[in-house]
Amino acid sequence: MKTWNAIKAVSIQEVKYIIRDPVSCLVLFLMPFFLLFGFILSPNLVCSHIAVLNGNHDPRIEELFNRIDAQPNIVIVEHLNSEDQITEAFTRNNIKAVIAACDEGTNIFIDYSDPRVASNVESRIIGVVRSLDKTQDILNIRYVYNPTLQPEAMPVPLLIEIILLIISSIMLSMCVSREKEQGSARLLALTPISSAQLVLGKVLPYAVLSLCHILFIFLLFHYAFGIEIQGSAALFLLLCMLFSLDSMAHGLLFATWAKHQLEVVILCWLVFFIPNVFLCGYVSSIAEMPGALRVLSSIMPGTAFMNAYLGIVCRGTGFAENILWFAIIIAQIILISLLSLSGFTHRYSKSL
Amino acid sequence: MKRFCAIFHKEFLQLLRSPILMAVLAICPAIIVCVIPFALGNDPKIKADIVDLDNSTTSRLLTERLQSSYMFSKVVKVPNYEFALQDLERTKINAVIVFPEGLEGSIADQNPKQIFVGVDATNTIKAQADAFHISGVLASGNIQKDSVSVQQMFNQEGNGRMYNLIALISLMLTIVGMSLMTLNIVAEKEHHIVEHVLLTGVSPASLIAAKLLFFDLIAIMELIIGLLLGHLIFGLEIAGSVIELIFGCAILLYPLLSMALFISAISKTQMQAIYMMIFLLVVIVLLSTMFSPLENMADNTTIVCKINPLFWLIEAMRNVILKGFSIWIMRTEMAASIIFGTILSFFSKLAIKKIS
Repeated sequence: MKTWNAIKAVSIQEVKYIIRDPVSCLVLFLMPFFLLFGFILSPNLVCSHIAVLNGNHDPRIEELFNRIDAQPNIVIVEHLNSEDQITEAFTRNNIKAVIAACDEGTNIFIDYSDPRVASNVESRIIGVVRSLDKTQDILNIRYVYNPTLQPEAMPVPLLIEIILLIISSIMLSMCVSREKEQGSARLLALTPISSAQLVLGKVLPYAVLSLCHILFIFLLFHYAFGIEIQGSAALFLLLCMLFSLDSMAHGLLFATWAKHQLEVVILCWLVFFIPNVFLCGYVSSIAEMPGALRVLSSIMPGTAFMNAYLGIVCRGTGFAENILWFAIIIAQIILISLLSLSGFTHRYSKSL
Repeated sequence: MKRFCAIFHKEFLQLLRSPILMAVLAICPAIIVCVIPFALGNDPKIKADIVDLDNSTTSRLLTERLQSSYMFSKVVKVPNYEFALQDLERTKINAVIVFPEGLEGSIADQNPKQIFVGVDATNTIKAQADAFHISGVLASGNIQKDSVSVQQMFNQEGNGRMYNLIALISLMLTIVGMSLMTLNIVAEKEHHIVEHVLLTGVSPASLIAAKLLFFDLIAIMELIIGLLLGHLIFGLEIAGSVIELIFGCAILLYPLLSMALFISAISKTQMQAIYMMIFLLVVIVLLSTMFSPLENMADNTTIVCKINPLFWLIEAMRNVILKGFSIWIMRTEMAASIIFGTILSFFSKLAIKKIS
């Protein structure tokens, strides 16, 4: 009973702190709406600008250009007059490719600085050229697990990951390092509250807050994007909750190390946020990474979340198939909280 | 001028006397630039199961063609479709190709049966690329490839690593510069140091100018460290001029730092400032074309993207480092940066003036 009272007291203190600052409160509750960026971050090519050069004014080439321009995703914005203008054309109008038909045949110059966009543009142009050859299309391609190639389905897991990663880790680490910096940590350490009780009391309000975030996300998920969860919805919520707790544990670890709020924020962004987002398999496929990084990437919470998400939401697998990812997340929560709790009171009260 | 230098000197000493912060500033580029790019830009290879119901010369020829293509890392024949689907579910493979019974005969009859290709589309971009490559290999016998030649400009190998490395470096600059700027000022506000400084006769304008210049220099320093590490480890070559790049980045960082300045001027506590900064940073990072290129956005959203200072910074770095253009082609953005930064600094000056 005594334990519970101590936890409750710390929680109430934290809740009051949040509520008395309307700006932070507003920002915290607005965070889940970042999910709406899913409509903007489409993985499909919408509009790409290209330039064309028809050196010999060949009518057949003109016909090809008309067909390319008729493609919904490619717009010819410029007609060049000579070959000297090709490199220069890339500096204007966000031009991604130049098709140049001269005496030596047709050359396609593609800006490959971003290979993802480049290969997409390339495949569309080549597709038009191929269709002129009138080879019959004998392939029947079907996209499994996402049959309509719904564009919103792709960025949504990344956005959920970003929201839960950064908010949960920064929220908890901030409230710990804030008290350290302001000196009230020393007063708290004088009270008969143990460090575990203190941390639990601080985690509780933020856990409730992130549960709100997750429910928000879930509603947006369902009503704004219309994505159906193939597996069980309860399992999806459990995954989000565990992932959020895992982020909090990482934040707590940073907060026990760092002295100032500034260091905590930089650590959370650069050491926690960036590796998790860039190594989670969204930007680059994990199977293609070099050995050591593949191991590093597979124990990251972001990767575990991403894999379990794809399993539960897209493929509709159950708990048994995703047990590895859940085990990684739970093991991290336990290990990292124990690590940050050891010597917590000592470091906590010694501050400044 | 003397007061301006004094503030500058104070910031410098403050940074030197905080060993943890120095360590964080040194370690972050090391982690971000030295480790993560190894994971990026490796060509995704396709793993496919083949269900050959025809078992004829044509289908075997097509299988061999798939196996010998460099785009495929694993091509295995499996007995039936159910088996392949199970593999797909366990994410062992990402594509299934089924050659129907009587394929060879139907091609000879000029009425070919369809080859079924199933692609795992949980990752939409990869699925489309996979489908393109599979159809390219299967259809390659039918078209005259020589009629068109494709030239990959600015990036002969078609490797995405440098592109992502540059995005990472600019993300690092932004986060370090903006968090340092905001939290430095708000922490001084919280501890009433700003009041004391203003009482000594330093004007709010010179206080702001000194801090902006100092953190701009810190961010430029991080840029130079990032580029050097990138050069040493990944052989990142700057195609354009280095001086122009640094000059351009210094100017394009100005609006980002002024946004941080503005946040610090209007917020009371560090907590408020940090929450507002997360909000701002997530918005500008998501709209910076780091995760979704400009080509993939609808017309009305590209406008939002084009008024994003982080997008200007990344675009300038791509133009100078990868494509070797002069920074001069970013002149509109640089002019906009100066105007945008000046307006925000002016409002922050008003807010800071109120303190005294």
